[in-house]
Amino acid sequence: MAPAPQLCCLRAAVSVGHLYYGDPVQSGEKTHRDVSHANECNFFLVTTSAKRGATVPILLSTTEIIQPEAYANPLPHVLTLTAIVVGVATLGVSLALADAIYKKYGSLDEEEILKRME
Amino acid sequence: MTRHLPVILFLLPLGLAICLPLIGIRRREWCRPLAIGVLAAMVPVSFANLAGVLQNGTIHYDFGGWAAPVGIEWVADGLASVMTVTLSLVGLVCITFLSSVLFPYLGSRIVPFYTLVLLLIASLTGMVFAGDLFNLFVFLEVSALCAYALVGLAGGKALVAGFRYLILGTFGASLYLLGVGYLYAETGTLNMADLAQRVPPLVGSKAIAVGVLFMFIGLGIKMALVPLHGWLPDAYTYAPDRVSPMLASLVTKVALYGWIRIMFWVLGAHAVVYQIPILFLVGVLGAVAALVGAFLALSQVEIKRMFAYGGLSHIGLVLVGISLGNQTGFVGGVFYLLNDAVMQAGLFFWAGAIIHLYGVRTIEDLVRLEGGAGWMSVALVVIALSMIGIPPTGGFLENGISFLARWKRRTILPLSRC
Repeated sequence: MAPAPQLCCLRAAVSVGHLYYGDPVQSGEKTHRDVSHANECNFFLVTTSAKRGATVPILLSTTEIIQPEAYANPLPHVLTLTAIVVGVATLGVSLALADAIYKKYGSLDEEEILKRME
Repeated sequence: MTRHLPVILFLLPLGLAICLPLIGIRRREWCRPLAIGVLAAMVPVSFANLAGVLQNGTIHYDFGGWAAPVGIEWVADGLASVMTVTLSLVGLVCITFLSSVLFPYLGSRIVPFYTLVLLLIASLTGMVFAGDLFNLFVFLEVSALCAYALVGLAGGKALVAGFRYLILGTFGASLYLLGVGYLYAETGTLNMADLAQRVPPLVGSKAIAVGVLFMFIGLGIKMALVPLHGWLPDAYTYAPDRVSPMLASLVTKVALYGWIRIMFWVLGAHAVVYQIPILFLVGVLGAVAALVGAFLALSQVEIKRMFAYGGLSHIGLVLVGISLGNQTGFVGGVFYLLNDAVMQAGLFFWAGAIIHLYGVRTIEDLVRLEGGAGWMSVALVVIALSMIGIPPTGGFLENGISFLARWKRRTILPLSRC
């Protein structure tokens, strides 16, 4: 569990850094990368549901008494699913904005856009 | 019946937001009256909710009949109810202002525009009532997505400002989610009332400290606390003149409300994480934000940008108020929060009106008016008096309460208490 959050923060910081201080790579990718750090949060969330020796959270039998330690915790899965949906919506809005910026300024390069905004 | 009022308050704008695209296919001109009607209906409902809460105490609404720690819960206490009254009143005024002169270039896109505005109001209501941390995250993101789109609506520079807002806003939301993950991993619950019982014994643990830190930085970006305010001035300056009052008065304030909710209802007012009293930290951050925001505002020439920077310093003042740690200070801080929602809306209404009527965008342009705008000057004087806190206005009450709180602690400077 330990390395995931650090990695996540690092990636998030790197992606914001790229966006703010300009990145030689085509900016279409930047949008994608920005939203991808949200996904890394989701990986971290889903790790909290893991249990040693547990199985997927589907009841094996309806007659026996339910043993919670035999199943992985389903709640983080649901949270992750919701967070993924939020991420998709964010990606949609960001792509729409990036598209509108491209139509207006004819470029997706941050420096180029700033130059044309003057 | 009063039990259901919080949910009705949320469903009113949400329901119309869902129906509006269908209605708009045939009857585009219905959008405006319908939206105003729904907001006007929210006002009495929110007052009824407030009256019910004051009479019968806090409402705990369990969705689907599942009791609180397992199910999703909405909590309508006094603070949340007062907040929704402000939200619906300011929202009603803002939406009326929106439509007084419509954007001629929007055409048929007027329908999605009103849908976005209604979704924004609905999600802010959801944030106010949310009883668990993850619900707060979802509504935070829904409101932020609407705000990004509304900022970008003006086209041109607003698109770039909106995109920047989106990047930083998403970064903030990710940090918040990460913090929620840590708290969940440590305590196994997301419900705020449940967390409030489980967090205090664990408050020395690293996971709680890191989780709380991430959540506060995330919400700090959303409410534009000073070192994290990079997105705000551009976004509010270039946002359409008719949209910026709504964004400036509601979005950052509700994020700040989320912060207050977590600080006082989850961590407890006098929590000490890693030998740092949280209230002291908040007081320092608030004082810095208040001073830096005010200095930055002074150096601006563009009117809207100046008001945007002024908003940063108001956020700081609210934090200073609530950081005093006694009841009077809390009341003063929260009252200033509500007062500021009204003032920011008023300031941006004023800026929008003066741009629309006289084409004045900068302080120098004001000279051109040569006293030709009587009522506009009167309006500005009234808002300005409220901001500096002269007696008949709300600002005076806040300053008075805040001073009283410091007096009670036998300290005048906000920071000398530790």
